[in-house]
Amino acid sequence: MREELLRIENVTRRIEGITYLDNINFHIFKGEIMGLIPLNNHGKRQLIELISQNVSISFGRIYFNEELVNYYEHSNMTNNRVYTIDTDTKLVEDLKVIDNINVLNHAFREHIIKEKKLKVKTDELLKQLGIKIETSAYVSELSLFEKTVIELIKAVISGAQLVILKELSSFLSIEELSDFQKLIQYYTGQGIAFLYMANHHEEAYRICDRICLLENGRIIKVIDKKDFSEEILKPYIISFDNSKALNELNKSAGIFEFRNFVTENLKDISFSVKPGECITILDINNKGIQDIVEIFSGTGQPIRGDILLDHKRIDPINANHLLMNKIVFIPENPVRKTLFYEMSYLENLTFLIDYKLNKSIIDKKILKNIREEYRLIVGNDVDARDLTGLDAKALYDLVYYKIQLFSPKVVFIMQPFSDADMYLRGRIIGLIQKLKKKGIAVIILAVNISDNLTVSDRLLVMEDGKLLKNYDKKAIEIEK
Amino acid sequence: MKNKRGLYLFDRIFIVLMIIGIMLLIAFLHLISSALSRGTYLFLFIYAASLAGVCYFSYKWIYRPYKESNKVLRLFHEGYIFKGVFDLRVPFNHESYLAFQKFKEIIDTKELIEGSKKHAEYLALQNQINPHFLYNTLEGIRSEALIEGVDSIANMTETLATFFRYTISNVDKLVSLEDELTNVENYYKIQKFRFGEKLDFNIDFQGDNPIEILKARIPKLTLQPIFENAIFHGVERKMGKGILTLKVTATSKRLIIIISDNGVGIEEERVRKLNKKLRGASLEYMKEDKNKGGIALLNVNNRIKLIFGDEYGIYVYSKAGAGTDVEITIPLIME
Repeated sequence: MREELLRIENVTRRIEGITYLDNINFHIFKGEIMGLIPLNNHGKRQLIELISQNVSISFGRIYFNEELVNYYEHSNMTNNRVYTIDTDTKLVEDLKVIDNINVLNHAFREHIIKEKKLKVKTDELLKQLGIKIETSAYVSELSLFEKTVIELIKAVISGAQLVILKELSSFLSIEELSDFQKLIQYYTGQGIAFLYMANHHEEAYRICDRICLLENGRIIKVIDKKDFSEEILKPYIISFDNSKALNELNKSAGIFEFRNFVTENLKDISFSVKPGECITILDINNKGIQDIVEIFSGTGQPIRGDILLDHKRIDPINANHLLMNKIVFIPENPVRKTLFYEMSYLENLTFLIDYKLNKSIIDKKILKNIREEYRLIVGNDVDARDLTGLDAKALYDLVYYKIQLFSPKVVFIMQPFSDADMYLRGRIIGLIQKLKKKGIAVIILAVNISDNLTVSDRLLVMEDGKLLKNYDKKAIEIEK
Repeated sequence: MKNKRGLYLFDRIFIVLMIIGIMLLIAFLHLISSALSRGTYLFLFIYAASLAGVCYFSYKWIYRPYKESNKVLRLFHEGYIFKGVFDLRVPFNHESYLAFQKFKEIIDTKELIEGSKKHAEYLALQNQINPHFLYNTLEGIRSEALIEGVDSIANMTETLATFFRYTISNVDKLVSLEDELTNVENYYKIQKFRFGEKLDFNIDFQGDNPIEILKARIPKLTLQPIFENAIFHGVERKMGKGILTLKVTATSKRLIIIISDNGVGIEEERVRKLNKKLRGASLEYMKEDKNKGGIALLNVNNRIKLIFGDEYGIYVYSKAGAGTDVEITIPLIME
């Protein structure tokens, strides 16, 4: 007979008049991997919060370990034995691995820290799990994958019975993900349950025992492993297949090239992109593309190699020169990183325009024209005095229209679909198509395939910092 | 109502407490302004600290439970909960606690009377139909069919007889899951004569020992009405093959039964409203139009909630074009 770890019963959660969770009902068994696919992000954060902590609810009951921990009459604000793992590590970067695992832990009862003893204990544990990580290293020295592994081990040792995994594939590469999933499976054998949140059903199908779909704060479907199929999901998801929108490449104009590029982790990379073309560089083990990001953020420099635009070298290679040459970079989660929320919509939209016009003061007439032009596209959002009232869709529009207005020659996009729900992903695909239509070369840097293939003309596969394969559009279709 | 009776008792208590609080505050402020020695300051400091303590204490000890009890009463009034109202975390006072227990008793007896009334109706129905007469007739048809060599008619009559016997005769409140499942299978056989190949049904046990689970107790006629619903509101209107699945999962505390169909499904807003209705026990549904559908769900849900409590019942997952899953939850009671 199966034991239930978590049971959520008819729970409604309303905050300041907005219903975030609407009469939801689901349960997780011990040792089960429950998938959660949010069709949109409404209520997702509130659900995670509610599972972790017994915050007040408008209606319903919550049982943890068959014990009523939270109900409509009284919420005692206690924490459940739940640990959440996402991109932002909760480990202390300036402490060693052993201290993070053993000492920063509710279960640690000793008054004196015996480092040697702890190291032996931890090494043995890692050996047992088949993991090779130096336990006396500082957490800051570890890779993101290693940090995630350590976090999971720490969670289990500190007594967590349910681990929430938030969109692992947005920060782990394919190889790392498959290693991590082995560890997850090992722990399910010990009765630990997982809530595996993923944006793509293909990913969830591979590992989960059951999957539930969350839409508008309601669980609208629970699917058993036996019933996993494309067919059963069809009525619930929207398809992004708009390959006919891909336009013919403009062959006459210039070309953007990376030639014999070498950095700490990139080994002799060469590739080229034509205007209006979109390529995806898929980094299987997450080792190379971080270096490209560092060059754009100004923290890294290439050891050797050139970047060429229209057969001319860009020299020296740094962030400012790249921008001067109309090469821009959109980081991961751009709405958080590239927008100024206290500034107006128009100020954000025209942020790069002084580079384009080479003037520091922009003529009011130009601004007025831009405002009227974009009013036709985004409506009255263009009059917004600050960005706080806008929704995610409008903010993504702004990020991409800003780039479009600057009209660069090349755009690098880091993981464009990370943390975006299904509807938003459809929107982002449309925005990237618009850039392509303007004749801008688009280079997507990614650690997982997800929706990138929908917009890409070519796929370059990178492993250990080397480019291995080059698929064109037709090959992609066949692979699909 | 408020106008007629003036202020409620608890409003009055709060007003009086407020006035006392303000008076203490005035005295306190006066003491501060006229404080002379260091001793007085010390006293004022301790006084202020303890006053804050008392405020915090009364918030946690009085105000919060008062608000919570109010919420429970309001939820009861709105029909979300039914039996939950009788065990407040902090009762108002001993007498009201006793009164609530009395109400509970009265409602339970009322339920009993209601139950026996229904029982009587069943009996009356039984007499009217005269089951022996019915069974004998059906047996007659069956033997006639056997003699004529028409096995299909013989089988159909036998299934119908068994179905009627189960539905009409046995009026025990709880039966075994096995009996319920057999009844569903009989019903499926009868419908199969009508739908033929268009209808498919399978039962799926999740867990190690299905034989053990079959002994679990369940209210009579819980599954068949929902199964009937799945056929007539889900599969019948659909083009192509209708597949019905019954999944049984037992945990150490609960029995979860999911009846799924791959039929036409229900649109989003209606599912939302239906689940909202299914959340509490109420008799509202009886007034509604019987042909509207979903009545069977509400009836079974009500019976489950009245027998086992608010935390059990039915929940529906559905989407237009994607079929419907009806999840029934009851406590696991073994023989």
